[in-house]
This record gives sequence, structure tokens and C-alpha cells, in this order.
Amino acid sequence: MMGRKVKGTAIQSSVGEKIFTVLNYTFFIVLCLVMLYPFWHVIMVSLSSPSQALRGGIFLLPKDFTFSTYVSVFQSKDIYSGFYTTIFVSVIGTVLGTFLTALTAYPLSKDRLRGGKVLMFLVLFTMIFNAGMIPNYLLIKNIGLYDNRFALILPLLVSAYNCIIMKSFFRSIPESLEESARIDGANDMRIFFSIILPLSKATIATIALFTAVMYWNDYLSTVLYIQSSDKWSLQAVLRNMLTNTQQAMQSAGVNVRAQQNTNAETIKAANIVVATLPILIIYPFVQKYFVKGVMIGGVKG
Amino acid sequence: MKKSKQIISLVLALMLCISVFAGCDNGGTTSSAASGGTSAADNSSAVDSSTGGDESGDVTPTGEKVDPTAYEETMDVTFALMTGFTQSDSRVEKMLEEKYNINIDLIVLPGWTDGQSKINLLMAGGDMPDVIWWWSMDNEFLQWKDADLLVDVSDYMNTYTNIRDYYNKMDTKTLFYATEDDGSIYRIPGDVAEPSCECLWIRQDWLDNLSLEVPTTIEELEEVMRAFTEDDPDGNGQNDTYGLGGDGYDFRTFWPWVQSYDYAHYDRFTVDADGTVGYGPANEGTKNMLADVAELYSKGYITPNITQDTDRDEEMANGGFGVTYSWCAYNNPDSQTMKSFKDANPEGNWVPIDMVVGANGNPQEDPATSAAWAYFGITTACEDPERLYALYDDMCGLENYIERRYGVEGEDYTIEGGLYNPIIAPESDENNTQNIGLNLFNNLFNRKDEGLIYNTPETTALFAKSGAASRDQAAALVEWRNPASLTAWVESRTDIEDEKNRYMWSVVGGEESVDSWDTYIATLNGLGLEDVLAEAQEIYNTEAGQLEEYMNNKVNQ
Amino acid sequence: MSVREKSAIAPKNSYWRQMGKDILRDKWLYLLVLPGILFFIIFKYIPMIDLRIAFMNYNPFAPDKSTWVGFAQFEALFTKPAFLKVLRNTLVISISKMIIGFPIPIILALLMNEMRNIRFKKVAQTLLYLPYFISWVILAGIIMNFLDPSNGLITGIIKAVSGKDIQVLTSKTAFVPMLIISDLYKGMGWGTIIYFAALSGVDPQLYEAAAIDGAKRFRQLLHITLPAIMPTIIIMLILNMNNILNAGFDQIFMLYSAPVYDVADIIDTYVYRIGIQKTDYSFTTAAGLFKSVIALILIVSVNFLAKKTGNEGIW
Repeated sequence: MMGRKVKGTAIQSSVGEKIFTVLNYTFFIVLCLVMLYPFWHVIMVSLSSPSQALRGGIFLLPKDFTFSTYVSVFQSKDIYSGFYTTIFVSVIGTVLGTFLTALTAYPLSKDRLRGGKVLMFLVLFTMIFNAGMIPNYLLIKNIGLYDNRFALILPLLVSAYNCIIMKSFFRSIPESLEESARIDGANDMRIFFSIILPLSKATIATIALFTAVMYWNDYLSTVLYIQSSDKWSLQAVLRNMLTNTQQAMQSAGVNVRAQQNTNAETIKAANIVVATLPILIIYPFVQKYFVKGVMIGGVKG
Repeated sequence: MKKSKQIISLVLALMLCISVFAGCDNGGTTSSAASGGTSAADNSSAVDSSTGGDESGDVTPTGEKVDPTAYEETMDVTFALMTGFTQSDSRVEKMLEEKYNINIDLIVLPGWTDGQSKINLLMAGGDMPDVIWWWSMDNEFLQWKDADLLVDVSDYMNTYTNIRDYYNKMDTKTLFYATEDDGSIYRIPGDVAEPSCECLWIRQDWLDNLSLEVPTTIEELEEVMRAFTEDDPDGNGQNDTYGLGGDGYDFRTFWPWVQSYDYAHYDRFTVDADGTVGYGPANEGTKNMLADVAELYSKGYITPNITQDTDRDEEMANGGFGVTYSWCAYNNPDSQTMKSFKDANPEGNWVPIDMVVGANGNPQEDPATSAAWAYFGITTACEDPERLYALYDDMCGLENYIERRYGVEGEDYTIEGGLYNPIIAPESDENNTQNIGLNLFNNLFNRKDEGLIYNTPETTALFAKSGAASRDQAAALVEWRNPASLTAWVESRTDIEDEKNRYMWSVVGGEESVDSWDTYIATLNGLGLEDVLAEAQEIYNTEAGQLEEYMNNKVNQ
Repeated sequence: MSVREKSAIAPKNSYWRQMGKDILRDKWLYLLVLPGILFFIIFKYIPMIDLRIAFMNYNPFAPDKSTWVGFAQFEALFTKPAFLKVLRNTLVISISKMIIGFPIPIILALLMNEMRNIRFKKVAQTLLYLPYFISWVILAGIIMNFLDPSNGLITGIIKAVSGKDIQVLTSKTAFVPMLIISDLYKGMGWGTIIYFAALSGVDPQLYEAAAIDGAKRFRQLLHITLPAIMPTIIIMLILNMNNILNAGFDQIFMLYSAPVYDVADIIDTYVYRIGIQKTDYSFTTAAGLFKSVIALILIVSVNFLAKKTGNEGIW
């Protein structure tokens, strides 16, 4: 933050700039409150009593405050196995995936690589064309990964989208930095590990965040590749609760009342809070990499 | 640190490659399901799959009956299911495992949105469960049947007869719809709706406040709706009440007006006294119904959000309206929805009333289909289908069913004064946390006779009354043996129904009027309705004949 | 041999020799890229072989009984009465979402970049992307609540402002704008992240130098910040083209109803409804393939344009 302080003392803010600052902050305060609302609503519902929650409506405060729903949720086995699976998958997937993405993106960022354009196009192609459920399902079965947590990790490990973004960031690193290392006798691999990676902290943090969130939110993989209930991902557990039985039966033209007589509104809300909160906590840790001048600092240091 | 990271990553990448190639099957990307599972190798009692019905006219069970509780060898059985208790190794599951000497493995389907996709994947992947459960999937069922993925259980059904007898007791037609043309049965009804499960509800306290009588005709009902909207029935001095409310974006809410006109329906095919098949949404009666509802809506007697997809229970709990057409089950004192409503409206009092008399002078409740809406079947992956059917059928006898569903009397519930009093209710938290397993295999056979002990006697009577009062209507609605056999309908259905929904809801909401009815019909015809009806007529005639023959020959009865 | 003759023969040989040299020189790069390419081949390209079912009558339960039908599935799709309508809706909705939704995260990121207070900035960033984590199932319920005809908050505001009783959820004119706004609401916070990463790569010394030269904030933005993040903007624009025919299935599915099919029914929702009546993998694969081909054409075009205007493309 050195750069900032220097700049601040060098200029006097004009009146225009002061007004802008005030408006800017006000605008963001309002925006943030509006953005916060849905999540707030869900939290409030989860802290309300079930019969109040069934009535729906706008919740600014809990109605009939109670913790009992959270007690129930944490007594259910599903949430724990869901957490275990999702954390397992997300951590391994993010580490492995981000690393593999970087490995793939760096060579593609070099113009001198023969066949680089072809490879780039091959990668891009996978982002555009998708074979659909059954072929992916059959592949996993044939590999022997069916009903295995790694089936939740492997198919999603590298996304072309992330590759392309990373490649673009790698290209913005000046060649001059590599030149000096090359003169000292380093080969491409050493340069990648010792120079490029340390300079790309912001990029890596971004892609890691995207990958982590992708794994965390993924429920489709569970539907496709998992059979045992104790290997369901957290989102699959959640989605199982959220879908409306009546709607499903209605679209089937069925006129029957679902026999369940539970009021799951608060449980659904609590599940959402429990499933979403952990991933929200990650961002502040990632933010420190979005600091200005981190790249230049790395070179000088 | 950099070097070791390098090495680790290369090793990981290498491991990745190796693991992938090790298990890789080349070229097997569209491996067929037919390769999976042993075909139904029948043991001792050689069941010959000739179907008893039309050919020999004689349905003697072949071979001897097996006793499912007397097997020495343990059999592994996998069930795919969605609703009901889904945790493994519950007390009920263990009880069943011990009784029949089996190893139960549950495959839980991932919810109502993705469940059907998963069912398809399970059937297509070459690794089918022994028992597969599904709802609605008529097209796929035909494909499974053709691909020999399901076992014909008709002979078993006539040997081990709990399931068969129950369905024949309740409604003989149920098994007709489950039976194929040649008498074989590949799908066993899993859950059949009560003949009618809805009735007309009204706020008695509002009636009392306004000194009104319970309405008995449509006109009286509409007058009551007007009063509920305009005369401040809750006496709070605010103009915040409405006449009719309920499930939004669902024509069942308007049932009193639907049943008011002959052959009016918002969805199904109709058949008149001459045997002519029509399409409900294109019949004259529907036009009249729409006109009525649109008028009521424009006058404001119906909650404005009735055109939006609201949640029935949420609307009920919120209140704000005085008339609704909804579940008979609300009559149970433990109904969560009613409890929510009562919490917010302590003086509120919903009572069920008889259907009001409409233009056709014959009040009818909304009938359900005789056919099941969910089926289950034994797949050809099962080693011993007869043993499986025998034990499942044994599970469905009255006492065994009650034990599987509600538990042990004295331990999980008591019967006091004829009323079911749960100590641990099937949907309760304790059932989960203590892993008891009540309501295991829900929707893989549900009894609605004496086996349904949790309705109060009043509620049971209400169901019965509604059921009885829906039979004329049921006779006027067509039920298909397998909707997938109407190929023209399957092709045009999405487009016809889109237009139908668009027009009907636009009329209700006021954006269109019934004056454009003829244009609407012309559009439907342009989308292929005439061809659909021609085909429907043909198939109806055939199936009507088949039904008569079935009833006379008593196959599977 | 004369020099000229030698150099006539030489080019052909040296082309291959040069290539061999280059490959050898870059051997480490090839090694680095190998695992990723293998991954793509195994998990993406091998399943892609089955895109062929778009040209068949595929029976997943008896694949051997599937027959080849050429373009019949595509024909079936294109001749559906509603096809042109849903295609039009898809384009209108997704292009509108792009025109409005693409610049906003950039602007937000730039505005936040101007904030001095680090703590406020961090908190604001986290709050802004909260809606991204709320699934459409929940968000749709909340939106429907706000738009309830009798007591919805937003319905009331609309009535107060314009005096009219508009039911947004069933109104053909208001529904799509509502889609765009709610989609923007959900995604704009998350969309700023990539631009924050890009902004952090700008050399602060450039700002110092400009400040000393007397440039005020706005000029700094125009001449330093924007050009610095332009490559990122271009890349994001091209990548966005991939979604040109994905107008937002989850959102629309949860919010739409028959009265607004005319404006809100997109390819995906239409194909979904067809799928409910008759699960036909060939048909759905054909629809997906159609979308992919259009996306490919667009990506190549925009990439070409980007390079023509002097920017970096994807390849």
C-alpha cells in the first residue's frame, strides 16, 4: 500500500473529487445492503419457528426466534457426510486443478511454442462442445470410478475457461524477466516454478477461488456418478431437500398429496446457511492477493 | 521447496495417467445395458413365461409356492427409491433382513428434479438395481420392456397374492392399467392415489361473522366469495380479504367451476356417453368454466396471485381468503399447514363442505386415476425374482405393512380409542436420529385401507365421501393404459399444452377473453389436435374393449 | 553448387530442421502441457465421440438398436412450431443480458478501485458477491414474494411510481426486464473478481508518474487503468460469446409461466418441456450441438475482430 500513500499526499483533492468520493461510498453502502438481503432472509427464516416460516413473506427479523432447527440439522447424518465429501473434493480438486491449469496455461501463453495455436484451439473446443450426461456417465463407469469420490473431482479438474484466463494473465508478464533468468542458465521449467508462479499470485488466487467455488457448488456430478448416500456432496443433500414434491407431481399430472407431513421450511433454510457459509469465509483469505503492485513487488524483491 | 513441489506434481500427474489407463475399457463408451446382469434364471419352480390370460384362459400358478422366510442362503437385494426412509441399517431394515435372510442395499435417488435422470442412468448403465422404482416415465418403461430389462411378475402375482388382492379390493382397474396386452405384468403399482383426495373448504368463522349459510350451489358460492371480499369478514376494518384462494397456477383450484359443466377439463381427455373422445381444454364446457373464473377474477373475488405459481401450503398458512379446494388431509389435527394457519389465526376455522351444485346439477369431486402414479419393477439383474417377489408380497400383508410403516404397537405408537397416537411418527426427527426406519419403502406399495392408520376416522370418512362423489366425473375422463402409445399426442403434446396453458391462464388473468375461443381452437388444430383426437379415439376404442375383456376374464384378479 | 542453388534447396530442409530445433528447445514446455492435454483428451474428447447420437435414433437401453438418421433430429428441432420463437427469445434475452451485464462489473470494479478505505473495500467486495451463492430456487421465491400482486414490495413501488397495477411475473413487457435486472443483481458482484485481479497487476508507479505530471483521477483512469485491464476485458468478452445461446435456464425455469412463454421461453426450457413428455437423448443432444456450433462461430468471429483491432485474442 506504499504506492497509495505517496499518491495521496502528492495531490490535493478538488471539490469534485470529494463529492465523487462521498457518492461512491454511499452508492456502495446501499448496494451492499441490497445484496445482503437474500442471504439475510434465509438466515432469519432458519432462526424462526417452523410454523411461522411456513407462512412465507419478508423476514427482516426472525419470527419466534429459535435455535431448534440448527440442533435438528446437526443431528442429521446427511449433513456430516455431505460436508466430508464436499470438503474432500473441494480441497483436493482445487489444489490439483489450479496447479494443472497453470501447467497447461503457461506453455500455451508462449508464441514460440510450435503447435501452440492448435493446442489452444483444442482446449477452447472443449469449452464449447459438451457430450451430455450419458457419455460422461459411461466413461466414468468404464474407468471404474463409479461411486467413488474421485469421480466428483477428476472430470472437472481443468476447465478450458480457467485455462484461457490464466494464459491471458501469463502473457502480461514481461519477457524481460524471463530473459535475465535464461541468461543465468535456467530452463523453461525452472523459470515457470521460480519466476512465473510467484509473480502470478493474483491469477492463481482467482482461479483457485473459481475452482473451489465450482467444486463446492457442484451437485450434478453426484447425480451422475454417485450411488451411496454417504458419498453425496453437500449441495446434492441440499437440493434433495429443496425440490418441491408437489411441483414434480403436478408436472406429471398426478393428483396426489405427498404423504409427508413435515414442515421443512426452516430445515431447508438452515441447510442453506450451513452449506453456504464456509465458502463465503474463503474470500477474505483470497483478497490479500488482490493487492496492487504485488507483481512488481515480487520482481524488486 | 520448489523442487519438491515439482517432483510431487509430476508424480501426481503420472499417477493420474496410470490410474486412468489401468481401468480404461477401450471403445466401450456406449456399452449396452444388455451386457449387465444375469437374466432371470428361474430356480426350481420353472415358471414358464407364457401368460396365462388370452391363450390358455387359465391362470394356475406353476410350481410350488416358496416360503420367503425359510431360505438358507442370504440374497443381496438392491432397491432404488426416493421417498420414505432412506438411511441404511435402520431397525426396520434389519428386521426385514433377518426375517427374509437378505442383505438390503438402498440406492437413494437424488430428489424430484434429478430423480428421473438418475433412474435412466441406473437402467442404462448395465448395473441395474434389483428393484427399480419410477414415476411417470411411460416412454422409458416401454423401452425397458422392449430391451428385456424387466421381469414379468404376473405368475408370481397370482401365486403370492397380498399385493394383488389389495389392489383388486380397492379398484380392479388399477391392475388392468398395470397389465400389458398379453397379460404380463412388468410394472407393479407402487402408489395409487385415493379415489379423490380433495374437497371444498370454507372459513366457518367468516360465515358466522357475516351470518351466512353454507353455500350449496355455485351461485351461492360466488355470493359468499363476494361477501368475503367486500364485507370485511374478519372485522379488522381493512380491505384485505378475498373469496377464493389456494394453489396458484393450478386449475385444480377452480374445481367447483370445472365440475359445474359437463366435459370441462383443464388437462385430460374426456369421453362422453356415446364413447366419443374429446380433449378437455377444447370442449365447450371448458369455455364456460373459463368465462366464469375470468369474471370472478376480474371482480377481485379471487386472490390476485392465483395466476402465479405459489405454494399451496404457504398460501393456506398465510390465510387471507375464505374458500379453497384442497386436500382432505388438512382435516387431520396434526396437519402442519393447519397448525401454521391456526398459530397466525387463532379464531380461524376451516371446515370441509360438500361440493356445490353447478350448471350440470351433478356435484362432483376431482377424481384421481385408477392407475398408479408410481410403479416399481423387478429388473433382470435380480438373481431370484420369485423369491424377491414372494418376500416383498409377504411384506405387504396388513400386519407386516403396518410394522414396516408405523412400527411396533406399544413401542412406536399406540391406539387409543381407535385413534392412532404416534410415539415416534414416521416423519419425525426421532425416526431419523434414532435410525428406526419407519416408512421404509414408501411408495413401493402403500395401503390406503385399514393399513392407513394415521388418518383420523373423520378424515377417513372425508376421503371416502370425496371418493364416492367423484365417480361420475371419473367415468367422463379418459385414462390411458400407457400414454406413450399415443404417438401423435407425444409428438404434439408440448406445443398443444403450451398453447392451452397460455390461452387459459391469459383468459383467467384478463389479458384475453373467451371471445377468442374459436381462434384458440383453430390454433390447437393447427398444432395437430385433430390428428391427436383421431388417434386417441382409435386407441380408446381398443382399450375399452380390452378393459371389458379383462374384467370378464379375470386375469390377475 | 552456387550459393543461390544451395539456398534453393536449403529452405525445405531447414523448415523441418527448424521445427525439430524449436521442439527440442521447448521440450520442457511440452512436458508441462502434457498432463493437461491428456486430461482433456480423456475426460472431454472421448465422451465427445458420443455427440454422434445427435445423428442417430439413440436408445440408451439397447444401444445396438439405435439407427442412423443423419440430420433428421435437427430437422425435427428446426421444424418445431415454436423453434423460431424460442430462438429469438434466447437471443434477445442473452444479448440484452450481455449488453447490460457485461460493462457493469467492470464499472463496479473501477469504482471500488478508487476507494481509499481498505477495510470498507474488503467488506464491500464480500457482500457484493453474496447473491451469487444463493441458488435460483431460493432467489426466485424471494423475487416472487417481492412481486406478489397484492402485497409485494416491488409491486407497490411500481404502483406508486407509475400508478399502474403491473403483474410483472405475467406481463409480457415487464418480465424480460425483470429477468435482466435480477440476473445482473445475482452475478455482478462475482463478475468483479476477475477485474480486481487484473487491476492488481497495474504498476502503481505509473499512477505516481501521472500524478506528478498533473493528471487527475479521471484521466488516470482513462489512460492508465483502462488500457491495463483491456486485455482482460477482451478475453472476458470473447469467453462470454460461449453463452450466447444460454439465456439462463435455471433462472427462467423458476420464474416463468405460460402467459410469458412468448417472450421468455428459451431453447433450453422448450427442449426441457419436450423432454418431459418424451425423453429423447438424440433430440436433446442435437439441440445442444446446435447451440455449440453457433457459439463456436461467434467466438471465432469475435476473436478475429479483436485481433483485427489490435488486441490479443484467445489464439
